[in-house]
Amino acid sequence: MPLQKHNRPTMIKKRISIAPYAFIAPALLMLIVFIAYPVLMNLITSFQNYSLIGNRRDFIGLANYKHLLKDARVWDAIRRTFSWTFINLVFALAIGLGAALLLSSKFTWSTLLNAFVLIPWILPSVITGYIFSLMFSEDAGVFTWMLKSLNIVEPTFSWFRTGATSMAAAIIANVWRAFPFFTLMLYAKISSLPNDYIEAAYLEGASGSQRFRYITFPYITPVLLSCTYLCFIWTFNAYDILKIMTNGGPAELTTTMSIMVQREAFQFFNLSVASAMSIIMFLLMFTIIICARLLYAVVRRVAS
Amino acid sequence: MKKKQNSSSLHIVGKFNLTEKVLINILAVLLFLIVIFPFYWIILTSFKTPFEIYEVPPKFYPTRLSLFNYVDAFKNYKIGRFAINSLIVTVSTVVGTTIASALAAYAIARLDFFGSKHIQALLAASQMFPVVVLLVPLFIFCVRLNLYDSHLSLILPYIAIQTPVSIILQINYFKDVPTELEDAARIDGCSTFQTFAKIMLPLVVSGIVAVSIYTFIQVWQEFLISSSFITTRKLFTLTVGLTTFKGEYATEWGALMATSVVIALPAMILFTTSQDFFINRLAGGVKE
Repeated sequence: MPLQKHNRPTMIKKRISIAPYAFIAPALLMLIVFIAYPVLMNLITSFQNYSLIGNRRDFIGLANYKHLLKDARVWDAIRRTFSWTFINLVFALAIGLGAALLLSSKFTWSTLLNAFVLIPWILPSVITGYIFSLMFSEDAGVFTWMLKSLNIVEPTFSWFRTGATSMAAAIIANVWRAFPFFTLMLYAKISSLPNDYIEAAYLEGASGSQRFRYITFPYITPVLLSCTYLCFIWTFNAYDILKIMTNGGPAELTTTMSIMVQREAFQFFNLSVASAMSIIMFLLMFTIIICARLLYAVVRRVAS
Repeated sequence: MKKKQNSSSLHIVGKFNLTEKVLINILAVLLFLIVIFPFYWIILTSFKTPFEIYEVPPKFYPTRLSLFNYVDAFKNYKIGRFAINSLIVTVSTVVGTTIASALAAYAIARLDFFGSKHIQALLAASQMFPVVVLLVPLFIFCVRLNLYDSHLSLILPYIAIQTPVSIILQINYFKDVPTELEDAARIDGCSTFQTFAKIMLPLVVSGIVAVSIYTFIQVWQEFLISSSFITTRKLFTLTVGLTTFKGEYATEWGALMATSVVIALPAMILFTTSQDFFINRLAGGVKE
């Protein structure tokens, strides 16, 4: 009798049970209905001529894609999305890493400062967009005022008059928001670095930069790469800050692909065109990620 | 003994000379100012009159702590309505996401089923799909289901978008619970659901709360979907409500910044309460 009692639980585990499926069903249902099905529908819509204005919904093959790829504005938006992503990533990474190293030097108030560094990251991005709009604004902007009173820019200067300066303003806001993520993750990793490593290097007479180059940097590389990967996805798809600060202007000079997709769909109601554009956007992002992964694998193989 | 302790922190404290220490502190102050200044400016502006906002040179300190901008925001811009909408949407999403993902996370962590090995990779991959790719089809879908311009058109997509991250974060908590407890419950005759509800849930509740806070913060500040799917002003969430302060010719900066403070506060308070979770779990999660 006791033997049987003992066997029972294992038997339950081995038997094919519907319980696990019941457990994942709600989540799976949500994901299928609101993620998988829409992604599929998006692909189908991109081959149609669906718009909220006309009533037609016919298959027109690759016409939307052809039309988009012939449009110079689309290429401009693609180019802009790339430079937006690249510049943001470089600065967020550099400042984030710098701040992490600074914090890890453990000065008197580094723990306090560490708590403050998180503020930009928790502040909702829409608010970040608005506060930087205010600080950069021509008439009420404290930042513009500082630059003017230091005679760095002429008195009539406005950030939002040319494409380059508008983009710069949005990038500054986005870097401010993004760099604490790197700082947070890298600082956590650096703090877990065993003291002995550094101490040994110190006793061997390695200089500060050598210690960073040969010990700290290799140790944090995996986290650095994961953070860069995540930040790349976020920045490539970024919408909030650009929408609020420049709304793609002036004269569409800061229109990235996200802004373009949203505008095409919800201002012009060209749903099929917007779908095709979002597919192009996704494919570009996907290609870059695959290329980066391959490159990383090759570099690793060559290095080892 | 004392000497040894000193030398173990040698690289951190001992190695800097005076110039380096000064330099570190200057950089630290600079970092502090960069991080805090825009946030300080939000709060400061929320106490300024329109005249003071446009004043040249601008004042860097508050002259009074009067709440007129907050009153203006609540009275004339009806942000109380937006706040209630935001709460309805966010709380419903958090509840839905937490229930769906706690069940799924438990199944993935503990139960054996077809595909249980690959589902985690699939969930991680789903993070790559940008919301922009979902925007158009979700819009068409919501129009067809007559959900367009309703809070449900936000809540349902939000739950679907937040669920994968929530599951990924929760799996670890379930994995941390010793299997013996579960086995004991089964021997005592608990069904799978009873084991989950009576044994597992109470043990992982702190983790689940932390993950819910993460979901809350994410949904609370969402803008792309909410600004695209809601067109009736009465149904606006707080982040969309912010756009109503920007008129054709002028922006009501004081009231806008007062509303920003109202939006930022809950997120900040919640974040502070679960800071340890964010630093340890997220840092652990990113490592992969």
